[in-house]
Amino acid sequence: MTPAFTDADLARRRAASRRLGWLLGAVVLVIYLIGLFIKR
Amino acid sequence: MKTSPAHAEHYFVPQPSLYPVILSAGMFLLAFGFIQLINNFGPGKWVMLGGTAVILYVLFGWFGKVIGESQSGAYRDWEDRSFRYGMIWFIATEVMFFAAFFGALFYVRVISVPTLGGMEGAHGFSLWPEFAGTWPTSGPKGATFTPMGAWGIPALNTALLLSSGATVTWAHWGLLRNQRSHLILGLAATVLLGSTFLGFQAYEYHHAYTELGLTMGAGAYGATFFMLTGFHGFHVTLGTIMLAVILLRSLSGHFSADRHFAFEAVAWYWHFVDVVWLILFVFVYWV
Amino acid sequence: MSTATTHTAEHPAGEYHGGLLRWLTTTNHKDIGTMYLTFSLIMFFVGGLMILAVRAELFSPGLQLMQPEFFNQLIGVHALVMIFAALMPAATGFANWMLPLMIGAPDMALPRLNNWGFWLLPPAAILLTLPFTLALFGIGDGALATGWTFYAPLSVQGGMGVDFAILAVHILGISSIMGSINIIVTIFNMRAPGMTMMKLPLFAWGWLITAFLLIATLPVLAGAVTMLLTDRHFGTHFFDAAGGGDPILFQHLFWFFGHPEVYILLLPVWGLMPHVLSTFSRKPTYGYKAQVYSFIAIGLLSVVVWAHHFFTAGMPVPALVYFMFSTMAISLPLAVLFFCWIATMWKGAMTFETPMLFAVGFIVLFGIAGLTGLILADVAADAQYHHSYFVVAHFHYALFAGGIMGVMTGVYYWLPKWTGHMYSEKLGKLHFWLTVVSFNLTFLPQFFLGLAGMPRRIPDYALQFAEFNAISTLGAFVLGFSQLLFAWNIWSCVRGGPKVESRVWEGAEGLEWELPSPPPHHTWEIQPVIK
Ligand code: HEM
Ligand SMILES: [Cu+2]
Repeated sequence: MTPAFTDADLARRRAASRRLGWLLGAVVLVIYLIGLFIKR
Repeated sequence: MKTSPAHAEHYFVPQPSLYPVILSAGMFLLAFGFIQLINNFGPGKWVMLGGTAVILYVLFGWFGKVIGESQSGAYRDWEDRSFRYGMIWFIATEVMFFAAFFGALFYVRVISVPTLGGMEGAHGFSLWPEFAGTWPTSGPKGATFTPMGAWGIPALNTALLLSSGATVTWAHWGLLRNQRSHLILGLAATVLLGSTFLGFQAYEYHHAYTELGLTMGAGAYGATFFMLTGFHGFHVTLGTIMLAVILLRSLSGHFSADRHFAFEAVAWYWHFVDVVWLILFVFVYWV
Repeated sequence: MSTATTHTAEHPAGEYHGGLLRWLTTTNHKDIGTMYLTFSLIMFFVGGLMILAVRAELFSPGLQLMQPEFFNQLIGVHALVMIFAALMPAATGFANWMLPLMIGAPDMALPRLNNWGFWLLPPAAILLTLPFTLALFGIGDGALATGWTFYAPLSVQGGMGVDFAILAVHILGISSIMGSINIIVTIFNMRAPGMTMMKLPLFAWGWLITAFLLIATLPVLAGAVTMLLTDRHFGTHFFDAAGGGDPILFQHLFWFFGHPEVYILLLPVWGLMPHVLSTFSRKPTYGYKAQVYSFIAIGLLSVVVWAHHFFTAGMPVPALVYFMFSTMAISLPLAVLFFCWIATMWKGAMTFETPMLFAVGFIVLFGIAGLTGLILADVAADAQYHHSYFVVAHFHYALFAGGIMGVMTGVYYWLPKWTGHMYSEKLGKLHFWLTVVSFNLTFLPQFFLGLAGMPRRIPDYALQFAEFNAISTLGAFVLGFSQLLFAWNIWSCVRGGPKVESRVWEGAEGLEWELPSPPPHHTWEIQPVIK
């Protein structure tokens, strides 16, 4: 059974998933930009 | 999502039944026996015979049960709709089954035979001397043969099947208007036309093998010819048997103007077989 | 309550059987779902054992354990078993168990047909594997040695194992078609009043498209192997250039089925993902409509791209270009799905129970499958990668990380609902981490092997490939044995464990969670009304 999560805990997780989302987006963007400079 | 128990219609869920398992066992025997037969080991023929017997037993039992349930009024509109959708999508699978064989026909006619014929011009050599990439061809391999003409038996068969489509519709009208004699006459005529078609086709095959030299081994033409007409003939056979069952049921008073799924399912099937034949007549026999 | 009385009248108590007879005769969607899932798990191990033998042979260069013929037989039967007897039945098992619960239906629309669909599977599995046994008794030379693709002319010349496989495919095909018809009819005709198509759970949408794909393509496979059978035994020349036919015709027919088949294996999983992601993110699914339209778009596109599997077989240039771009076009709707999955998690209060771990693992690893697929879809690049281990790695990221791990997601997600017990989270998490790590250990090196030029379907290889092959084999054995944890976890959960409530997961939405866990034998006999 799902262990009970407190409201504060859930709020913390919401914030964390938002931060992680931005972080991953930034990483993808950086990889894309680096790709533009790679010459074969 | 809010829910409330207001809808009180009851769907017919049949009791447990042994038929499906027995049918699967019968099909296993049939398949296994067939493999034995074509690979020459084991008592293949007898295994196949056993499998067929089991399958026939199930067909009689299972359909008998369904007919019994239908007659006892177990099926209402809700169940009726399930059967109808089911039959429609079953016919859709049959359409795709034929599509595979027609696909093969178009492929060899449009791509492989012309390509093989054009080897000389394209590459300066021919794999087989005197091979022309024209249709019909037995290909470089295989004995010479005469292709099947369109305007003899095949044209007659087209007429037979088309009129059988009309007679089955006439029977349907009879059923809808409660004129049982039209229903029965129409069905009987359809069965008769279907069987005549099959008789002619048997004759045509005999003619092909004994006089024209046209066999399954007669190159891509013979292969596609027998595969397409053979599978179609097999479907006509099934359709005729199903129509005969519907005829017998009509004779014993089954079906009413507003409840006759089985009749319609068989009629749909028959029209489907009809349409396949028209395409077949054009692309296998005619052009 | 007049319905209650009709119920007892139509199902006299004496008609229900106990023991084996219950399973042989059942018309109950839950029983049938259980049989599909059990069968799938067993065949998963059967197919797994075969490929562990293969990996053992590949551990080092040279022939150690088996002859090349037997090696070829093992890889072909492995693939057929995994695809047709493990992955597809698992998805059908999900559909049987969950569709009626999710759409508020009293059962599947055609219950006896449903039972038949299942009971066709064991005979087919026997036909697939019997040639191995017969060969032990000196009959024939074993199973088909052509790989799962049956390419002519090898399959025309092969031994009787090919005939066994052809007949097995016929029976498996009938089973899938019966299952598909049943699912389509159930979704169209058995939905609870008020559940419009655009309120349908995404799992049902995924399966609906799958069922249509099966109906459109399986008969073509049946036709193709039928022509193969007549070429083998009845003198036709469909795939023989000497008679005006063409072996490449077989490839066209096979892949007309084969490419949609990969979406058949995955659409049910794509349908299930949003449910899991939204439950454990405690947020509604993002982009319901976009996902439905993507399913439809992928379904339609998937039947017009088949020739990307044999770019190297020779095709006119316009055909190459067409098949390249249409293949790449599939990644657009697929990217929409990825976007929706990620957006569902974004800003969610995520917790990582086992199903969620598998779902997130699925997204990452399946993403690699899609990206490497794009590389393969490039005609010029594929000339190098085709028939190399790169392809093997690609489709295992798709089929194991996408398909099998998707199925595991579903099993962990719904197991408490089915059994009424909680599985062991500890074992589940251990299973997840072992699976992900060993999966990558097994298949990541295969990308490098392929890029370096190692061909697939070969029992021996050049010395330069030795290290990566050794790593891959080690990974495979860990991967294989980790699955025993999965089986053990399921088994103990069926036997007992902490009781769960009807809404097993705090954030779960949908009709299935309003029923008790485990649900009674018959559910939604009185349909709910959706407002
Ligand atoms: C954007 C998505 C995808 C693209 C562009 C793509 C493209 C390709 C291409 C071009 C090939 C042929 C490579 C060759 O033989 O040279 C291939 C092979 C394969 N793909 Fe994918 N693919 C994609 C997704 C998937 C998915 C989702 C699955 C499975 C669920 C899958 C399963 C397979 C399999 C099984 C094979 C190899 C079959 C065989 O030869 O035995 N692919 N893919
Ligand atoms: Cu493909």
